[in-house]
Amino acid sequence: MNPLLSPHIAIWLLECLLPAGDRDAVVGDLVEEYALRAGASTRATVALWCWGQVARSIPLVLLSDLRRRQWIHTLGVAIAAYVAAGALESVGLAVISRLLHPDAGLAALLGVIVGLATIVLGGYVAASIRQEAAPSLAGIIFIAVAVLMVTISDSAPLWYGFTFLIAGPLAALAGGRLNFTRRARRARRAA
Amino acid sequence: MPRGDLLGSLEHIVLLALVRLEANAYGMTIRREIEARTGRNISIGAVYATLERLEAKRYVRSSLGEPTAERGGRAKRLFRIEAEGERALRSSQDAIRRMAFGLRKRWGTT
Repeated sequence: MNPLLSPHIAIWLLECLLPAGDRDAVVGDLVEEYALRAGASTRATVALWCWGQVARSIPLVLLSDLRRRQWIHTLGVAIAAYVAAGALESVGLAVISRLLHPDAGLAALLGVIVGLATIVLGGYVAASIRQEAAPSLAGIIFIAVAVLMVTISDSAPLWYGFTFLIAGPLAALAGGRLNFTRRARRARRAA
Repeated sequence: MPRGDLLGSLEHIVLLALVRLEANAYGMTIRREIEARTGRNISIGAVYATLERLEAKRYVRSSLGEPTAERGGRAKRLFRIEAEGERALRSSQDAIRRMAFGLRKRWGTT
C-alpha cells in the first residue's frame, strides 16, 4: 500500500485539524472502528474507508465548531501569528543576507528553511493563545501563498511557491501539534 | 418542543439510535447502529455535528468516559437522551406516522 494512503496519516491530519474539545472523542471513535474493520477487510479497503471518514468529517466538525466558538477571536489570533511570523522571517532573511551574501539559489533555499521555521513557531504561539488558531493559520497561509503565486508568479521559482503552498500549512499544523503535545505532557505530569 | 419545530431526518435517526443503545451510546456505536439499520454510511463527523445540535437544543446530554487502550488511550464521549429529547422524538415520530397514514397500500408495503 502507498505509504501516503496510510490511515495513520489520515488520523494525524484529523488530530491536527480538529478543535481540542472534539479531538479525543472523534479520533478515538475512528481508531476503535478502524481496528474493528481491520480484522474483517483488506488493509487497502479499511485505509480507504478511514480516509473517506476523515475527508467527510473534517468540514462538518469544523463547521459545527464554528457555530459554537468565538471564531472572530480565533481568526484574530491566527492573523496576528501570520503577521508576526512574516515579520520574523523578513528579519531573519535580512540578517542572513547581510552575513552570508548568498547567491539566488542558496537564498531561496534559506528562505524556505527560515520561512518554515517561523511558521512552525507562529503555529506554536498561536496554539498557546488559542488551540484552534493553528488550523486557521494553516488556512490563511494556504490562501495567501496561492494568491501570491497567481498574482506575482515571476518573482520566485515555481518550486519555491509550491513548497510553501504544501509545507507552509503543514508547518503551522506541526507548530500547533507541538504545543498540544507539550500541554498534554504537562497535564499528565501535574496529574 | 414547539409544534412547528420537527426534528431533521438525521437528528431523528440519531435520537432513535440513542434510545436503542442506552448506556453504550457514543460516536462509533451510534454510527455503526445507523449503518447497520439504515444502510447509510454516514461519517463520524456528521454524527458529532448532529449530536452537537441536539445538545444545544438540550435533547441530549454528554459525559466523558474512561480512556481505553483500543482507542489509543482516548476517552469516549457518551451521550444520553434527555426527557425533552424523548418528547421531541415522540412528537416527530407521531407526525411522520400521521402523514404516512393510508399510504401503505400505495407503496405496496405492509
